[in-house]
Amino acid sequence: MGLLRKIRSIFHENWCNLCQSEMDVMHKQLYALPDLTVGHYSSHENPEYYRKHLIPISKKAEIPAGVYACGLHAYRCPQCGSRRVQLTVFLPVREEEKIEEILFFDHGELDDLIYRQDCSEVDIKQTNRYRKDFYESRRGGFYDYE
Amino acid sequence: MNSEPVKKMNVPYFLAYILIPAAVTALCFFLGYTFFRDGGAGAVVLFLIPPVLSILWWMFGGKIIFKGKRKKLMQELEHSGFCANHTFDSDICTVVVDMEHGKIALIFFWNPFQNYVLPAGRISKIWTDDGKNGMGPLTGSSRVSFLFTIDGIRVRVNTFTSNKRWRMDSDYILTGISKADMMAEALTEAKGRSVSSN
Repeated sequence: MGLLRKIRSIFHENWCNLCQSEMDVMHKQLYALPDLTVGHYSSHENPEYYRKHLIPISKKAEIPAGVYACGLHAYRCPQCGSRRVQLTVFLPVREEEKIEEILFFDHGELDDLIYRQDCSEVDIKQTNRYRKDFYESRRGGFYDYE
Repeated sequence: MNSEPVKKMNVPYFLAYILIPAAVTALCFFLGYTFFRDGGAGAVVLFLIPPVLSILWWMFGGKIIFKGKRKKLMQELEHSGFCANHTFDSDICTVVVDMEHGKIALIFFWNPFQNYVLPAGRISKIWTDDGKNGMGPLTGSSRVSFLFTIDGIRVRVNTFTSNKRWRMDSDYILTGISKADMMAEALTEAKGRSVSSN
């Protein structure tokens, strides 16, 4: 039973990796990540980067087109009390979400971010930035449908 | 700042680009046939080199000219105080948006010797085309672009093209739509600034 549950827990992000019980969602927040824009995505695993660049927002419609977003879920295990933060980095495109990566932080690295309140000075559109983008072309093989 | 209407294609350049290499190749074939009917080095030069050079020219010549002119345009814009907030390079056109002053700069693949720096207020319509077609599970797209109408001329700028059809939720299509929406927003904002400053 214990081994089976351990195997199943691999496929459930919201299960505790210590006691394999389902964790409670303590906090949920949507953030804009204006430092990353479409066509210029780069993976960051350092929590410091997210503490510095994430801007809390109330709904997806506030994110300008082409700007990445992050969904944060803070979990707490009701059995052993361990905590885990799941950060999903995605590109919102109209009603769709293009998920780039899902990161986990188990040692409270993003606590500053969760309890930070004042972000009123940040320019979410970053209009003073200089951006350069390119079209993309995919050619090759026979004409078909993918 | 240009006041003349936007021309996407320079017809003499377009015709010269296609016809001159073809005419030179035909002339070389004629000379080869006339003077080197028995073969030899002259025949090889006249029959082999012109068509190879023509194909290379058609494949790369336009791209090299366009890239060079685009680079020159960017240098000119930098010196003229144009704030290139957002630059988008496509296969057939480059759009540079100055959101601060509400201006746009354009250069076209088939009209590379003419740059256009215009107030964004001259744009009458801006929209995104996701190229969606097909029905049910075969719904997909092979081209995503943003479009705008300036002086009554419709300019299409591709953000994604393919010879295959991709599902609407594929990464390529989503990225293309996102880029197109982003540029449409930038153009709308520049247009707003241009209108409010006039």
